[in-house]
Amino acid sequence: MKKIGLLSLALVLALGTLGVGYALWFDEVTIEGTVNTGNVEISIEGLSETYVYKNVTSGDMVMSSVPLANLMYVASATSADMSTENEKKVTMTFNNIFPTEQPIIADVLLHYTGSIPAHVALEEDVDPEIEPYLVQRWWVDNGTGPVEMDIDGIQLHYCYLLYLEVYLDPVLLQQDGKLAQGLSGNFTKTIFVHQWNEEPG
Amino acid sequence: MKKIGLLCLALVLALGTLGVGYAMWSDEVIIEGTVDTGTLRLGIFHAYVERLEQDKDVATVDLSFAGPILEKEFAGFGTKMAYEKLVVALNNTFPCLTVDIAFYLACVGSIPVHIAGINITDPSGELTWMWEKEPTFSPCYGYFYHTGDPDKEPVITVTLGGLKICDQYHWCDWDKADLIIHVEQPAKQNHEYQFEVKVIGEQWAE
Repeated sequence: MKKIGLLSLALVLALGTLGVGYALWFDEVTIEGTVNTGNVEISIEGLSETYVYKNVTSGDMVMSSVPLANLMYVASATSADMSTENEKKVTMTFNNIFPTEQPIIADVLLHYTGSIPAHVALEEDVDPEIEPYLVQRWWVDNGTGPVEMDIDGIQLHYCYLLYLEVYLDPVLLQQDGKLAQGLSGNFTKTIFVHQWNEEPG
Repeated sequence: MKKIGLLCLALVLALGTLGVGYAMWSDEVIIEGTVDTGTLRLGIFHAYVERLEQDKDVATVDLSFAGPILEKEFAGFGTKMAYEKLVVALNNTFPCLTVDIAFYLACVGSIPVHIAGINITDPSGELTWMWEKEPTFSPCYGYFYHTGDPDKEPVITVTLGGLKICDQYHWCDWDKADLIIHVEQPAKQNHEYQFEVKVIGEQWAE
């Protein structure tokens, strides 16, 4: 009788062990996540300048996009990248400008490298003395070629190019004669880009 | 308890507003510019009587300047004031008197100057000017006659040397020129004649 009892106990234990084995059946679903945030960024891609010289021998005017030697320097419109770690800045300098057939131009090429669309807000401050003469022309290239337009409020997408040309209106300088001579002034343009979905448009 | 709830709600709303501000990603580029336009100025900074030919020492010549432009350093002269106008007064003149006035013309602006024209006139209209040799040559010369005189007899002859159309001056460049005035026989006695010699400069690039 005692042996029957022990056998029963062993059977119960064996069955119990078997039961635990059945209870380990399971299934699962895993969710893995990767997050990449976009960015809003505009960068200075290029600059160009105009130098005006006099050929003393022939008396001719020579305009060049680079400084030249052995000619008499007269005037210039230059652009320089003065960016720091915290600020992207271009300084344009127009020196000894006078009326010419071709305007004396300084320019800058900006590249929108942000991965999300952005809106442009243009803020300008121009000294009143030079304001009537200062001409700015913007071109936008979305990859299909540059188109002249006012950039304030437009939307930019990745890789759009913005090209700014600045000069003093030679026709107006000529018309105003002595009034336009000896002028001195400053201007500032801030090209502010911000993510497109923060305002209508 | 209700007050604490309202306070929490206000805090959440305030933080939410702040959140929108932070949420606007942006970037900017600043373009700063400085503009200086040039100046085109022609001036006379020095003059003197080079020669005064007269049989009797009775006529006098007074030279003065008007319309100061600016003071500048001229090579060989030091710092001198440049003027818009040289005023020549010939007093007690008589036929056959010749006076040679040397004057120094300079580019005192920042843009090279090209001599575009030389005009000689009588502002009163009493005399009429006639070129005999145009100012595209140097020396150039001509004479004044009484306006309306059919014979156009010379009253005052003027010769301008050392200066001609198409001459170019760079900034601070100067050149000596001569204005020679000769009084002729038909000149009236006890009379005042006026004349004006205007040298017109324009920017060389035109």
